Amino acid sequence: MEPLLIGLIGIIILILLLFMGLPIGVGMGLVGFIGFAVLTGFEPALGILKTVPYTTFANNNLSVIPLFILMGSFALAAGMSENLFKAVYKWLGHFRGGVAKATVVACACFAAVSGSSLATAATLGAVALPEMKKFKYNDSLATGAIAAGGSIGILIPPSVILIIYGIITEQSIGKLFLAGFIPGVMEMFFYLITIWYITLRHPNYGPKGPRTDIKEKMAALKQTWEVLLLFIVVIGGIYAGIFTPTEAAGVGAFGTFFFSLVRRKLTWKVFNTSLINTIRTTGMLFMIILGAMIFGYFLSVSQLPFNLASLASELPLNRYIILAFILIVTLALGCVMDSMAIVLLTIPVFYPLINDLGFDPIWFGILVVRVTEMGLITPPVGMNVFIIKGISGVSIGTIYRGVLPFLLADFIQVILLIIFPQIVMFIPNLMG
Amino acid sequence: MWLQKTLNWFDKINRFLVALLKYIAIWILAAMMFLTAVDVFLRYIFNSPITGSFELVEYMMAVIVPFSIVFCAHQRSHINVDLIIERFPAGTRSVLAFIMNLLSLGLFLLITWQTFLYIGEEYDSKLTSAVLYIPVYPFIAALAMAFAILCLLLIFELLNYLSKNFMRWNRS
Repeated sequence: MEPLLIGLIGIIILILLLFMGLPIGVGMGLVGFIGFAVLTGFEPALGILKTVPYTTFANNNLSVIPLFILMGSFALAAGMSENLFKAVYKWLGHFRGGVAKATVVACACFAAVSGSSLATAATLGAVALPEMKKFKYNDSLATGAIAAGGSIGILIPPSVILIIYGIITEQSIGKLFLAGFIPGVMEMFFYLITIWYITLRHPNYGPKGPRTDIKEKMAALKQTWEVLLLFIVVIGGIYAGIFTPTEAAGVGAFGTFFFSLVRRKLTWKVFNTSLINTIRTTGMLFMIILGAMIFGYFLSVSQLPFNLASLASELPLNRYIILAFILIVTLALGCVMDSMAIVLLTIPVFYPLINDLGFDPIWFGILVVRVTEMGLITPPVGMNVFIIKGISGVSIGTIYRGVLPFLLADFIQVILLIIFPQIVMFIPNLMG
Repeated sequence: MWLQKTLNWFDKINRFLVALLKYIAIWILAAMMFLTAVDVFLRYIFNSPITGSFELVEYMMAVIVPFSIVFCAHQRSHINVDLIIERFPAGTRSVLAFIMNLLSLGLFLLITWQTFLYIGEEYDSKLTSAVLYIPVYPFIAALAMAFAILCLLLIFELLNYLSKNFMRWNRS
């Protein structure tokens, strides 16, 4: 049989197994191993199982992943997300939809010290929801804003998914981080505009909150200076070339540890829980990474990505149509799968094609991550939506209805990112 | 019943092993954070980085990651796509889970076996790290141990399923 055909069969079997509930990492590892064995023989395939786990795990560059997750865990423990929310709320609360706006801005700010976004949605939801209930917010707007806001974190550095993308495509993690910054902030503004528009049309959806004086505003803002400092040190350090991402992650984790200690938020129990939560997420991510590594060997001997690339570049199609196709596939997968898994599954297949078509790999990375991010809030499987359902008790249908306008904003933003690549490339190009 | 008793013991041993791995992993993780941060401070402020910090982090990762994977498996936190299976009746779901556990066990048994072979190879080759000359094989042994425990967890799941159904057949 043709290697190409075996590659295709492998992908189909993988998808079937995943839908039957096999954990994603295990599925990729298993199909990758069997596929590799079919194409090259049992002995070489066993050789992969022998060396790949150790070389994948004992990797200095990948230590950024647990360290950035740990940074986020400590930041949560230190109450930084609540402080951010309270501060922004003091500034934006008296506008229409103020609590919703404050949630979105706080999510974006918290993302600046956290590598993953699921916890953000959960903790901010727990603070913001009671506040929105108090002002009789419309359920859809309230829950939709938190679910959408929680997804901003993926683009704003540090971002675990961008790290993964950088590692598979051998692009600079620092550049990817900086490239994600403006699109992340832009997303925040798009969501603010969405809330503004919704509350303009339906003022009763998000009533105004109380006014606060400038003294209160400044006092609340003072509570958040650590977040700003950490962001400047960590991301600024990477930008200025002072730190490698690994060093920045270590310093960032230590910094949040230090601040939570100083704030007396870090009891022994909290310290333990932060570490345990971090290893849970680390285990989850690295299982998928291991599976993807093994699967990657299979893909490359099947030559599927290579053939796909040459086939697609011969097609008499505009390269943007092919790009749109790739993004639609990513979005469709995002409806049923975790964003990390999508990046690990699709990037090895599509990346050679993107290169052949002459697209910038950094720009494509941001684009693809931006699209998987939409997957967090698209039906039927939107992780953020499930989390918000868990803490609010609002029905899934109501939350999806609330998310819809934000998804529309997402679509517009993705199109803008495609038309104006400068939005993404501006800061990385400055770095040179 | 003896079967249930044995399984309870098996479960207790597994819990103990997972708890052990969990504590080792979190402490090494904390150490890795301090090491990285202190290394940076010493490098930029005193211009004298910690010797061999690069390879120390590598070795720490070699322990943290597999131990975390085992912990995550015990907590059933590994990500799967549950959109479709959620709609199946409970009976079908548990049969599917049994088959998927069997497949997982197959993969992890192979990995465990190969990793154990790898310990011997690296022991014989006397491969060490470049700066501190720490041998590699103990870390591969830690990896092998983690995968072996992961297999134990899966075997427990499988036996547990069988014993439940066995009891149901006995009753009917």
